[in-house]
This record gives sequence, C-alpha cells and structure tokens, in this order.
Amino acid sequence: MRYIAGRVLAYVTLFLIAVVALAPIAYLLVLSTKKRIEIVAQVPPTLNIDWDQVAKNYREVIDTQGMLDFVGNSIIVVGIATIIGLIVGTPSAYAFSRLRFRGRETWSSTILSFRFMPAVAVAIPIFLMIRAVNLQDSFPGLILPYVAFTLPLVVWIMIGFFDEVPIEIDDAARVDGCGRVQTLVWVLLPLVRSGLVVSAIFGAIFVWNEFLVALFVINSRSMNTITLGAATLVSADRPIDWNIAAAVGIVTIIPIFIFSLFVQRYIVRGITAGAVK
Amino acid sequence: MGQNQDQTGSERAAELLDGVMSGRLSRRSFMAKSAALGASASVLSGVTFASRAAAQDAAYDPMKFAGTKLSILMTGSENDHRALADLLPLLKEETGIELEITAPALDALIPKTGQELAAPQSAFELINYLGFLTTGYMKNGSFLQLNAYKDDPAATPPDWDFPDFAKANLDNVGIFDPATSAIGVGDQLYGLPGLHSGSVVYFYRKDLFDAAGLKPAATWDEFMAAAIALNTPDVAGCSFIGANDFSLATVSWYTMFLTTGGKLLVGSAADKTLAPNLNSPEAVGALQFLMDLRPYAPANVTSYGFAENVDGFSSGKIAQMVFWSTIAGPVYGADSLVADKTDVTLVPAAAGFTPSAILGGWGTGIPANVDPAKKDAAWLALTWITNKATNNFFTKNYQIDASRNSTYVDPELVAALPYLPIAGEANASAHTIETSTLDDFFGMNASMNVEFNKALIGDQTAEEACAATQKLWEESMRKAGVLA
Amino acid sequence: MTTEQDRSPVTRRGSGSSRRPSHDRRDALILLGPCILYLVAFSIFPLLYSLRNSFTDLGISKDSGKWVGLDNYVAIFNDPFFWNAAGNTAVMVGAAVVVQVVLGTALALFMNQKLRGSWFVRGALILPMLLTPIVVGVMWRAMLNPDWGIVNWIIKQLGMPPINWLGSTEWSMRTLVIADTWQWTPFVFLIVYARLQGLPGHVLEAAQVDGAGRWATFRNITLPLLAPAIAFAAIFRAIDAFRSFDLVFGLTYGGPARSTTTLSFLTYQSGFQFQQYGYSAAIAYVMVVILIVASTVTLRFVRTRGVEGV
Repeated sequence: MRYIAGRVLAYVTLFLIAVVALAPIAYLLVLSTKKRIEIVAQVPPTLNIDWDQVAKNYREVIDTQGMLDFVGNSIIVVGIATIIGLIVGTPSAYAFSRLRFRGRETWSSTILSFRFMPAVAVAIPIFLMIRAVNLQDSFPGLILPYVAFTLPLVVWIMIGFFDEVPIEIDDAARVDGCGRVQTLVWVLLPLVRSGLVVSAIFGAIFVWNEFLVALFVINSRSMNTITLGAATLVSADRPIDWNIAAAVGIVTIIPIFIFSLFVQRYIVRGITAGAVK
Repeated sequence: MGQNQDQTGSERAAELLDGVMSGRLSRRSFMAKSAALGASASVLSGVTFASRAAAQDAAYDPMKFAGTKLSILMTGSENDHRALADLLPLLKEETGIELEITAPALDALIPKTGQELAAPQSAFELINYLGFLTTGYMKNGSFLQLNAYKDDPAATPPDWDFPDFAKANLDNVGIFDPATSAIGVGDQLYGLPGLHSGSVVYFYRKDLFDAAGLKPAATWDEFMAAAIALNTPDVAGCSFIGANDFSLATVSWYTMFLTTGGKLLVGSAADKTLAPNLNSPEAVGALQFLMDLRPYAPANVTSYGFAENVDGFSSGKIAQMVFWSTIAGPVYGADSLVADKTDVTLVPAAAGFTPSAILGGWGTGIPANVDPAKKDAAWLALTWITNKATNNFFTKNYQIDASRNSTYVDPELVAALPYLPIAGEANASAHTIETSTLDDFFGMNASMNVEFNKALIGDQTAEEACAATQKLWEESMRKAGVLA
Repeated sequence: MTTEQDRSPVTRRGSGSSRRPSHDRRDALILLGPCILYLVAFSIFPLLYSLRNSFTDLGISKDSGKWVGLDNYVAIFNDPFFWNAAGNTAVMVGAAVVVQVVLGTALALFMNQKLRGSWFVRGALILPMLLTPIVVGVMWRAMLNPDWGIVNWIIKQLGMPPINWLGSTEWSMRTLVIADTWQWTPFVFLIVYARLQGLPGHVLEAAQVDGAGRWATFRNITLPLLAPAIAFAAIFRAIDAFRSFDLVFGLTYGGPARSTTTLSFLTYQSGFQFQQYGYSAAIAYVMVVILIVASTVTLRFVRTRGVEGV
C-alpha cells in the first residue's frame, strides 16, 4: 500500500514538475493565437481558437518578418562555431590533462577565467577587430568571436573527461608505437566521444543567445540571428503587440524543444559513459 | 568693382546664353551684347561651357543613380521601418536605387550609430537619429552639411518643396549652428525631419464626457475635476505614464511643467551658470499633481508605460490622458474598442499659458564619413524618403506623425484621420526640451524617471524627488562643464 | 583496475608519463598553440582595450577620451548606485547558489527513480535554459502583467490580493529571482543528474545491504560522491548569476527605482544608454577583478576538498 501511495505521489510530482516547466510556454502559446486587443480584454484568455487569427499571427512572424530564416542563421553560426571550438579546444584539454609543463596551472586558470568578462565590455572591441579585417556583416565575422566564447567551456569540460581516462591507456598506445597526436586522435578521442557531445552542447547553449556582438557585427536583416531578429520584433522596452511577440517566442521555442528532447538523452548517456569505467 | 562686376557679368552672360539657346536672341545680337559686357573670350567660353553643362543637368533626373545600393540605419522601435519597407519597391521603380533597411531597437540603435559614425567609413549612407541627440551628433560634425545639395536644383526634385517641412521639426533636428552649437539657429542644414516627428496631445472619451455634461479640460484644474467625476470601477478617470519610463518625465510631467510656466534650466552654459531648476514650485507642483491624480488612474498606473496606456485606452478602460500623438494610430485603429468614441484636442494649460508640450521626432542625415562615391545617391534617396508622397503614405497607412505641413492638412487624410489638424497644431507649437543639448540627456532623464517613479509609488515626497533629481542633474552638469 | 575515484574537473592527476619534460613542452606548444593564440586574439585585446577605456572619460563627444587615471574607479566607489547594484548582484548570486543548487540537486535525486515518461519531463525541464532571453522576458512580463496576466488572475481566484510583481520595489527582486530560478535550476539538475546516473550502483546497493538507512546512505555515500558535480554546478551558476544581464534587461530593465539593477546591467546602462563608455569599462573591470578573486578562492577550495573527499 505504502509503495503504491509512494508511486502515485512520485507521478504526481513528476507531472507537477512538467507543468511548472512548461506552463509559461503554454501560456505564450495561447497568447499567440489571439488578437492584440483580446489579450488585454480577455482575462483569463479563453481557449476558443480563431484559426484565421492564428494563421495571421504566424504568417506575420514567419513570412513578413522571416523568423524562420533567423532560426536557420543561428543554427549555422552556432553550429560551425561549436565545431571549430571543439577542434581547437580538445587538443588543449588533452595537453592540460596529460602533459607537465611550466605554467600549466596558470594557463588553464587563465583560459577558464576568460569566461568571466561581461559581454558589454568586450562587444565593442571585438566588433572593432572584426571590422578591421573587413568581416563585418558576414557569418565568419560572427563565427570567429563565437568560437572564442565556446573555448573555455570546451577546454574545461574536456579536461574533466580526459582526466577520467587512465594514463595506462596512453602508455599502452605508446608501447604500440603511437606518438602524442596519434594517441589523441585514434585512441583517446573515441573514449571521450561523449565528452565532445557534452561540451559541444554546453558551448552551443552559451552562444545561442548571444546578442551584443551580433548586434554590432551584423547589419543586413537577412543575416540576423534569432536574438537579433527577436530584438527587432519585440523591443525589450515596449512590446506592444503581445500576440506577435508570443508567436515569435513559439517559433523560436519549437526547434529548441525538439533539440532539448534529443539532447537530454545524449547528455545523460554521455556523462554517464564518461564516468563509469 | 572687380568681384561684383564679374558676378553680375556672368549672371548677365547666363541670361544672354539662355536667350540665344531659347531662340529669343539672334546670334548676332548675342555676340554684340556679350562684347558690350566686356567679357573676354575665354571667360565667355568658360561660361558657355558651364552653362551648357548646367543646362544638361538642370533637369533633375531621378534615375541618375539607378543601380546604386544604399543602406539606412533607422529605428525599429516604431512603425517607421515597416512603412519604409512597404515603399522600397516604389523607390526602386522611381529612382532605380535599392535601399536596405537595418532597424535595431532603440537601445541598440544608439551605440550602433555611435560605432558607425566613429568608423573610418560608415557602412550606412543614411542614418536616422533621435531629435534629442541632434546637438550631440552635430556638435561632433558627424553629419554632412546639406545646404549645397538643397540649393542645387539639379540635385533636388522640383516638387520637393523644402518650405513645406514643419518648421518646429526642421529646427529641432535639421538646423544647427556650429559656431554656437545651437539647434534651430541660422540656416545651416544637417539633417531632414523624418521619418516621423510629433508631439503630445490630449485624448479623451467624447462619449463619457458628453454623458457627464463635461467639456474636455482646458486647464489642469478642469483635468483633475474631470478625472474625479469620470472615475468609476470600470473606467479610470485618467491615466499617465507612471512607470520608470522615458516618457514619465518627458510627457506626463513635462507637459504640465511647461504649461504652468516652468523653466527647466536657468543660466547659460557660456558663463558656466547653466543649472537645473527643479526645486521651483512648477516642478514640484507638476509631480505633486501626478501623485494627486493617482487615485483616479488605473490601479497599476505606476507600472504603466507606453504599451499599457495604449492598451488601456484602446480597450476602453481610461477616460482621458495626455499622450504622444503617435498613439492615435492604435487608438483609432481597427483593433481599438473606442475608435468612434475618442476625440483629441490640445493639451490643457494653466490660465494665461498656451498649450505646448515636448517636441519628439527623428531626423535623417548623411554621415560625414560616408562613402564618397555614394554621397550624391544618398542625397537623392534622402529627398525621396522625405518627399510629400512618402510622408503622406506614412501617415495614411501607419498613422505615423508627419513632418510636413501639407500632410497635416491634406483633405483626404484629415477626412480619414480627424485628429490630424490637432496633431499638426501641437507639433507646430511644441517645445524642444532644454536638456537635450547636453551629452548626458539620457542619463539625466533616467535619473528623473527613477526618482519621480519612486515618489509615485509612495516611497518619497514630491519635494524629495525633485531635490534628489536636482542634485543628480547638478552633478552631471558640473561634469559636463556647463556649471561651475 | 582503477578504483572509483571521482575527479572533479579541477583536480588533475599528474601526467605519470615517463616522457622527458622537454618533450612535454614541445608537444604542449603544438596542442595548445591554436587555442592560446585564439584566446589571445579575442580575449586579451578586448580586455586591454576596455582596460584602457576605463582610465579615460570616453563618451559620445569627439573630444572625450582623455586620460583621467583612476578617476572612474574612485567615482565608482563613491557612487551609491554602484553599491546598490553590488547588493542586487549579491542577492542574485546568493539565490543561485542556495536555491538553485538545492532545488536542482533535489530534482536530480527525484528524477533518479525509474518513472515512466520521465525522459519527456527531462526534456521539458531543460527547455527553460535554452530559451532566448528576450522570449523569456516577454513570457514573464505577459504572465505577470498586473492587469491581464494569468498569474494575478489565479491569485485573485484564490481570494488573495494581486501582487505588483514588476512594479514595486518590494517584489521586483523576488520576481527576478523566481524567473532566474525557473530558467537555470535545470542547469544544476542536468549536471547533478548525469553524475548521479554514473554512480556505481553496486556501491549503493552494498551500503543498503549493510543495513544503512536511506538517509544515511544519502548523507555518507551519495552526497560525497555527488559533491564534485554539485560544486561544479554551483560555481558555474554563481559566476553566471554574477554576470546576469539578459533577464534583467528583458524583465525589469533595472527598475523600478533601480531595485533590480545588477552590476552587469549598470555596466550596460552607463555604456550603451548613457554613452559613458569610460565609466562603464571601469565598472566592468571591477566585476572582472571580483570574479577572478572569487573563482581563484573557490577553485582552490574545491580542489583541496576534492582530494580529501574521496
């Protein structure tokens, strides 16, 4: 009996957790189906949906404003930046984990502390650098700084994963005749594969919502990322069109939700695999 | 002797040339008369050449820069960029110019503008700037002087009609005197009004006033009386910006301050005596008035910014309010529940003072560091986006406040938007807020809003709020070097 | 066969390699080179640029940018608004470390049970931290709108007076903390949950067979094993909470009456809104110094604990 009560309680709690996490988003969904005046006048919002209005709202967001393009742009920029971040950061993490050299502690702390600078202070100098090499208003101009933002995370997480791999494996590889680099690429990387996924995901999360650098670097609307596009449509200080703002929110949330369902399985599996030996 | 005669000489020569080319003068008469002028052959041939070239260009050619790609940096916080985007195909059709719009939100626009103006070459050929920032930008020489273009018949469309720009707006955003760093002084042109201007008017629910036998308030006492009389649980007697919002100081407070005779700044910068005047009875009185109105305003008025007031009025929950004329769009729009019950008039004023409020609006100019190859094309595009047809379109389709007198009185527009003449009058009598000449305008305004909002939520008295703001402003003005 | 030795990211095993140090040096250069170069380019230059600005009076004027030495820093320490922001930031960090870490860990422990459909709930849980900040701001402002928002309607239905979430100095900071908790507790949850999943089941089972109660098992075995993950999550959250900007910007814009202005927001406001770039850079640097000091101290603390804790 107590067991069943416990299970019921557990499921109820599980349900409540999901509700707390999703309720605000559900509210946004409802708002995105209304006319602006209905949002102000109808409290609480009724659930009869006027599908014409829904079509109108979403068409405004997707077609007129091109929100889907922005989603695509964000995916491209963040994806490429993350991949480059992995390529540049993983060898460094390996070095920090395996090698002994002077200043190792200092350098690793320095790299990690680069995450601390408030974006406001670095946005303008970074923009000036990008403009100096004539990369403003282009994807590379945005990708380059974003790689720098993902690096500290990648390095930090990968160090942890490399540390989990026993040094004996390195030695065995050496006995087999592998050099350092070969050891890294052929032997160790497959073992920390899940770490790569984890750091990629966390690195991506970090730059997905980046706003200030994108604001300065990107001029053309066609190249806006999600944060830029949303900022134009939904002024932070006066979102008059709540229904459009809500539709913008939903359009950006859907790809993210799909991503998160996929990601959480992988992260858990990844961190798990890395930890158990 | 020499200079004047040359001028008159070449003028006369041009006259003669005109005559001979139009066939009025025979060639022989022409030669004889030219010789009589004493003009040497070379001067004459020079004049001939120039005149012929001028004659060719003398016809303004809208397609002169067809194929050019230009970029404009403008505000995305209003409807301007949407209206302009609608017109881009027409621009392309009439001038062959392709204009790309970049329209960040206001908070983002200002630093981005700053970066572009400071760059070796601006990525934008046209830049939209807030009227409040005109002094700052022009003082730095950030924008090109446009007189040469304006006075050149070959560069401006014949029907452009420069005098048609509302003088108040032109003075506020376009006319700048570098010698004294004063706006509205002299005739040097650095920007054009656009893409919208506008001031503050008094919106009221005609149906509620009629039912109570009241007329719209002409004085602030009447405003308070109406607020008390019309206040019911369903409809608030009045509303205003009560939140810590830009418009609290500049609209809700400043309007009453101005129309009760308040002077925001006293003294002069030149002898370092420019000081704020916030401890004056008008300053404290205006804030106290808002606090006294609070019981007759919506319950959450201290959180009410722009959006909440528009929504509140449009959904019928507010009986009267003094507000930016630009909200006439939503209030009279299809979405509004009170479109046919609303009327508009000039803001109330204390006895003996004329109704007046803050002048808002934007200017558009060509940055000084523009790509020289695109400069002329930028001017052409600028004249196009500020011409009568464009201004008309903006007001007609988006109810954007006009920058031209003709738009405010256009019969077709007035028929569709009956509030226009009042908006035009308000625009013409509006007042440039004195603090906008200071670099720290936004900082000072922000301090005032924080303190005033604090008083409205009951955390301090009106006197304390004004005194606190006075102190902060003095500090800022000392740092700016205008106060000793 | 290695024993289950938990390693936090900050404890490092010695290289144990028998290669000569000079080989290590050379290899280190090759492997680290690109990374260091990259960071030097994108982090050192901006940091130095900002540092230089913090010693000037850079503003919107063309003739600003003159060297003023430490004037900005002195002004900061005399500025009551700076201390107000520092206090608000401290609240954000405190809430992050206490509320979010505890809640996140509790969630992780709860979700560790085998419940059907929990994979979906896990996905839903992660969603808040992936959302675009502006969207989060709009969402909360809509929910908490004093006139038509759903939250106040629910409160009214329950018979209680409506709360002025965003418009009163009393509630504004609490609202910010609530929104931040909603958004970032999932981060803590994820880290701790993953580590929890990786714990060796047999150790826990062995303890229970030994007769240890649930609570004892938790306190003496599970918790110490989880400690590194919890510490990792806590440090990261503390740092991010210290720098939190997006939520303040989207939800409260620093108000009302500066009650939610954090250090990051103050930096943004002085720079981008008031165009006092020199002063803004100085505030940013004060933040950096605080962060570096705090993180060095905590990393050292965690490192030593980590070695002992096993």
